[in-house]
This record gives sequence, C-alpha cells and structure tokens, in this order.
Amino acid sequence: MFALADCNNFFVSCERVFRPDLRDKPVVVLSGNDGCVVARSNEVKRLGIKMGVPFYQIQNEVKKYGIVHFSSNFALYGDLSSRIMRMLGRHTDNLQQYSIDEAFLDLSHLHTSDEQIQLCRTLREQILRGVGVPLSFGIAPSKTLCKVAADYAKHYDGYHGVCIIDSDDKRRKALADYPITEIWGIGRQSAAKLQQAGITNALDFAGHSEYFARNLLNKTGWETWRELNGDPCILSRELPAKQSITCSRTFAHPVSDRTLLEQALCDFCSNVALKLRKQRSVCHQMVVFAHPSRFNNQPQPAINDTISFAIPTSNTSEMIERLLLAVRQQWREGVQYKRGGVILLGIEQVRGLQQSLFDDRDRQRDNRIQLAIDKVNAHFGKNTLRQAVTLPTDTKLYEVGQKSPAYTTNLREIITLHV
Amino acid sequence: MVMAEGLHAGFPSPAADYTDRIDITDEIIHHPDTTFYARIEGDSMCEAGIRSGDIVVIDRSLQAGDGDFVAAYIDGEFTVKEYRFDPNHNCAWLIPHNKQFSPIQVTEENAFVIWGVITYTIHRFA
Repeated sequence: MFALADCNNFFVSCERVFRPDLRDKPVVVLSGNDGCVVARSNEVKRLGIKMGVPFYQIQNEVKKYGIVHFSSNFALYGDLSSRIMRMLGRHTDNLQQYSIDEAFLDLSHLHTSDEQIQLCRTLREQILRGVGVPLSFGIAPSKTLCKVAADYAKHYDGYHGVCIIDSDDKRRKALADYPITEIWGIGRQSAAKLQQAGITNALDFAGHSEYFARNLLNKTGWETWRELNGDPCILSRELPAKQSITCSRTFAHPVSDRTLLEQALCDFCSNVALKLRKQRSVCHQMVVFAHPSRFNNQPQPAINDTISFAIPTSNTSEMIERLLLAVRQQWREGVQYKRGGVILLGIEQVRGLQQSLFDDRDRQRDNRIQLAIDKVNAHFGKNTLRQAVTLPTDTKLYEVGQKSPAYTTNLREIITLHV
Repeated sequence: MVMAEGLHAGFPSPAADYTDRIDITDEIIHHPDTTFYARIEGDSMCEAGIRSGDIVVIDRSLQAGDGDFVAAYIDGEFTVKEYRFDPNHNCAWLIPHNKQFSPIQVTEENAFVIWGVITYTIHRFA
C-alpha cells in the first residue's frame, strides 16, 4: 500500500503559520512574475475564484470580500516543505516527493489498515502541530487511487484528513463519484475521448475492459486504467510532470561515503540543469534529497533541502554550489543512503534577453556565458542584472501582493513577539 | 558515477567543513524540523531572563505544559508568557514575569492559540 501526503492549499497554509489572524480569512498567493493566483484558501475557492486567474481580474472580489493577497515567498514555502518532507521520510523506506507539497510514502512495512491509518493520523497531527501546515492523506494500493482517496480526505471533514481505499467495495464507491476529468494522469484529450465514449466517472472507465483502455488511450491512460483497478504500475517511472523535472535513483549499494553521495547528487543536478536549459527554462527551486535505509528498523536522518533561487536559474555551477552546501549541512556520518535525487520546481520559460543568450546549446559556451553573468552579478549586484535580463518588457498594470518576510531563512526577518 | 567536465570551478573547498568543533545548535535544537526563532520586544518577561532584543528558540513539537513559557497568539497579537492552566475555572492564564504587568486570563471568548514552547533564549552581552 501507498499513502499520498498532500498539503492543503500549501502556499496559503505557509502564510497562515505566521499569521494566525488569517485562519478563517480569504487568502490568495500570487505568482512572482505575472500576478496570477497560484494558491487559494478554501474561502476563496468557495467564492468561485479559479486557479491561475490574473489578479487584476478579481479586483472587485478582493474589495468586496477583503481577500488578503501575498506575492510568492519561495524561501518560506521551500523551507517549510523541507521540514515536512523530512518528517514524512522518517516513517517510510521510500518517500517519493512529487511536488513541493506532495509526496508518496511506501507503506509496505505496515501490514494492517489500522496501522496504516494510525501512521498517517500521527504524521498529520505531528506536522500540523510542529510546522503548522494541515495535510490530507490518501491510502490505497496504487498511486492513482491514493490521489482519489486524498481528494476525499481533503473535501470531507468526516475523514479527519485520512481516507483509505482498502477494499473493492470502497474502491467502487469512491470511483463512482469521481469525475473522469479529475483523474490523475487523464489529460484533457483522453478525458474528451472517454466522454465521447459515454464515460463520465472513474468507475465507468475502470469497469471497461483493459482492451478498451489500451486501444482508446495512450500508455499513460492504460496505466491509469490498471491503477484504478488496484494494480500498482506507476512505480519507478517519472511521475506525470507537474511543472517539475526530476532525476532520482536508487543506489545499487547503499552509499555512506560523503564524496560518493555528493558526486551522485551533482550528477543528477547537471542532468536536470541541462534538461532545464534545453527547454529554455529556469527554475525557482531545487529540492535535493537522499533517503537512508532503515538500520535495524531505526529511522535514520534523511537529507532533504529545498533550495530557493532569488533569481530563477538554469546555471549548473550555481545550482551545484548550493546543492553541496545543503548536502554538507545535512549529511551524517554512518548513515547509509539508499536513494537520492534532485527535483527542480517553479519552472518557467526564460523571457526577454535571456532567451537569446541561451539559444546556443553548446555546454562550453553556456558555461562561459554563465561565468560571465556571474562576474557581472558579483560586480554590479544581483538585482540590477536581474532586472535588465528577466523583467518582462510590459510594465505591471496591477498591484501585486506584499511578500511576507523570510520568517525561517533570514534571521533579520524572524517574527517579533511583543511581551 | 562520473561528473561532467568543467563543473569543478564553483565547488567550495572540500577542506572547509571537516571540523569536529562544538556546534551549539546541536545542543539547543532537539527538533530542527519544528524549531523556529523569534525576536523579543518588550519587558514583561524580563524577570524570567527573557529580555527585549533576545532571540527565543521555539519548539512547536512540544505540548505546552503548566508552567512552560509559550509563544502564544491572543486576540491578534503574538506574545510570550508563562502558561498556567486553571481547570477549576475552565480557563488559562498567561503570567508575565515583571511586577508591572498583570496576568491575562484566557477564556473561550479569546482568539487564542499556543504557537510553540520556548526552549531557550539567546541574549547578547557584548
């Protein structure tokens, strides 16, 4: 069995940790560069405001309902995410982080539903108290069913944040109420094909023959069909991309040597950085992780750090420098790491001048350009160069949110307690 | 595992971090994933040694017990006080450690959250 741990309205929840006054207030978080809504509190969702809508289009609602808005604070979200991932990683042999706010836990070491539910309840309680972010858990035999279960856990208070699909009866009931368009791995095109075939809910789809699914849909669609029928087939392949690039591997032999681990992680890092540059993108964040094997069933400390780039980057040497700093801080003598990886998040297209700079895919030249940029940055200060190369040419026509302080990553910005 | 050529330029010195020096954070931070810091402003806790300008270490994983110093949120403001539970009157008290301040009674009427338990204060002398 697997569990999906999914943070509720993650960016909004992070802001609320340090602003308890916003607990029941409508809150949105806006994307850093273009002022679109990237996270909504439940109050905002209930107003019918959609994900991704430009902020200037909801000015009336903002005034009418007093919606509080923030610019993205990647340093804060990244740090709280790492804390949560480390806490989750202590309780499973295999934690597969899927995005900044979601991870799959392998629960194969727990043999009864009660134990599985109990673990998720404990984790939910620990993280809610310890970090302040609420999570929903979905437990099921396949990752696609975990997604379904987690959705139920999130939307119905009766589950108290943990929903399990551990019988065929429960699976059928859950899928019968689950629209085809919401299924993980079913894109717009596949959904349209299925709807044309008269299929509206997930149970209809799962109830058709495997032959039907294989013929009508692509490989992902077929795998999704199997997963909905309780056959876990999404195991090691890259999870459906959600604005992230991942390179991770299970080591043939557990690695305890620091240099070896660093080499492996740097290798992953240069892979993903190259992919990033090939698609002419930059990233705001990089997650680096290394999970230990359980020694005598004792939880070992994992490495998990979310590195935020103030200026989104695709520069390999900059990324590796930061990666090494993080690994050296968290690596522990004697721990046997059995799986490691690098995930890039907050990916966006390079804009303006930068685009032409990175047109060339020659690594040597890329590195020279990267070096040149670094030199200019060091000399004139990062912000100047950033504005010159990354700001969109059109000026902002709307007021963007106030960015909250870097509460957990900058000592000058920690909260003040009036006593 | 082989690293790509030309990537060595940006490496920090490998010798820089092989030290066995005492790391005070290991001593004062028992749960790094649930530990946060805050700056103190004000004098209501000065007789307990928590003074204006101090940095307090807050562990959110700890359950606040009677007599603990807590970072609490009450009616729109963060504060630090000693936490006292009063089961006979079904309320709690936030006790200042400075004679010029009065205890604050916390009832169901208040918007009240215990944010975390204060484990250390860091005071700068020089």
